[in-house]
Amino acid sequence: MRVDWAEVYRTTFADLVRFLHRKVWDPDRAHDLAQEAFVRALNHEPDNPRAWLFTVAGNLARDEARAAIRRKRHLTLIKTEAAEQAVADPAQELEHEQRMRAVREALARLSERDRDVLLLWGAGLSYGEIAAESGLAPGAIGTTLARARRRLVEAYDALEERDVVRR
Amino acid sequence: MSYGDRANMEHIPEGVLHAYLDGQLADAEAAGAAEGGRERQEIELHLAECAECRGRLEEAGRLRDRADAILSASGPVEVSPPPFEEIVARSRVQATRRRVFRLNRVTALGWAATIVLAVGVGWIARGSLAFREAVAPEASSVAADTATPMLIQAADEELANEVAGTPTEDEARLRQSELAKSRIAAGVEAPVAAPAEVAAQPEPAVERKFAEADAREREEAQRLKEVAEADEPAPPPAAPVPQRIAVAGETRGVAAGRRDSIRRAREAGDSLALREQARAEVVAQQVTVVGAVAAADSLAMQDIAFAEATWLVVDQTTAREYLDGPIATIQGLPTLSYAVGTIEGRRAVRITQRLESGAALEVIQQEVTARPADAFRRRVEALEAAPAVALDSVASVSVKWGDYVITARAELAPDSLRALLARIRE
Repeated sequence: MRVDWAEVYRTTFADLVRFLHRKVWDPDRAHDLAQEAFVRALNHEPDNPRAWLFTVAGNLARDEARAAIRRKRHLTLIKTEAAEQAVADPAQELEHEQRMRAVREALARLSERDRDVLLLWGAGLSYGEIAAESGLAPGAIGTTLARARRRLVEAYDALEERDVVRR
Repeated sequence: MSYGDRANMEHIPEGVLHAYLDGQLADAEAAGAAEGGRERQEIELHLAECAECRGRLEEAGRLRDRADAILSASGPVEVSPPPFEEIVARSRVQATRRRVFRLNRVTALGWAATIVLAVGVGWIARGSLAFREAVAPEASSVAADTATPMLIQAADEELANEVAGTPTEDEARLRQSELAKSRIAAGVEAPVAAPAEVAAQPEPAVERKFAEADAREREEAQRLKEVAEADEPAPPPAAPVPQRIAVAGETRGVAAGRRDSIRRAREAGDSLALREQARAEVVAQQVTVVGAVAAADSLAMQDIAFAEATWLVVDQTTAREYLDGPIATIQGLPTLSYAVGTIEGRRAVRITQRLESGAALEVIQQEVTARPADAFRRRVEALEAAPAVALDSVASVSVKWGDYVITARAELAPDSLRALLARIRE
């Protein structure tokens, strides 16, 4: 099957960047990794381009995360996030930053599989594509997603509550 | 599932409610749209009858909306995709690198082993051990330290003028055959297909499926990791590939490593410390000569210059037009590819040729005369002072050739490279 890569690129790049951003939390790195995934895809010509791209992107993000831990890059990332919001109102900026951190922490509390399924759905993949990407049975996607959603909400609420108590 | 069958009234599982809300029933059942439509009807019939499931559906909807809201709070990322053509160009460059990498990987071990047998050296290899992990770590290190002389005598520019002959038909056939092999080799790595879909399972089996999925996930992660590693643009420790971009990084690493081993050697009062010192200086000089700048403190800047050297694979005619002049190749060796790019803002052509051993030889031809920048002029001056250097087992020898600087890089002794450069022809 001949894949129209220009079309796949046009329709998938933004989804891939968003997916990666929620994994590496750095917009520039998310862009870089999305490009890298496409560069590799063009050389591999996979049958199912979208699922393949997300698989490779997820893999790249995992490697990136490990490298980031080694380099203790989190400090830089927090600075980057703050810099992006520099023009906003300081109170809003603080709130946005707290919210971002809470989402990030809440996601970190999910199992890797739950998080992946949730982020893939969030990036616009269908259940069938998520199944192809994750190796789960298509019938299990709904169940996984239900559990992931519940755990995310619970974790987020718990974090918010903690922050409110702190404040 | 018979949610609509009053005689066999089962409540709708939560996963199915989410699939229903997400409009993914057909996918969820891994069946055709008709199947999904039938399930939708059954669900709606059941919902009409079952207040409890209606309540659960509402709750599932709230949960879904809440989770979506939380995720979108992580900030909409502004996406600015580069032109697709840029991605295509990068993929071509990567494909070429992989071909060269594979060619070299096959021969790297053989080379290292041969040299070790011939020379057999011990201590001096220790300094570079830390930088070599994957392919025959000890062997390649020993090769690196013993096979390449510290500094090669000035290359005679006249050598470059000793040109001869045109490519024979045999050579052309060889090249075709190499390209065909490369394509086959490329196919070997291709099968990174998406994981196969698994048939739909009833809910009670889901947890078991998760255990199986975990195992598959681990296998897949391992497989992808291997592929990703193979995809890397030539990790220097695994195989000494003659590539500019990789070499810049390696150079820095090796230089740092050498300094460290000098320090250790001094602490240990080792009499060979001086030899290591000499090597460190050679490495530092290699940075100067092969790189863009003479000042040692510009190392980082030079790395950037290398990193930005993106090569675009083209045919010979395009390469000639790009440089607006003759293209230098080593006579008698099949040419695998031509690539164009810029180094230090100057036009350059990279010609990859195949040595008889099967290893790759990289010939980089840079223009000299047009608008020489200070850094580049310094480099040319440095070349005239010390025109050849060695970097571990990948040697690099540069000569001036008319209006160009020609740099040859391969896993060869610099003497051999010089001999090859003597065979430059247009």
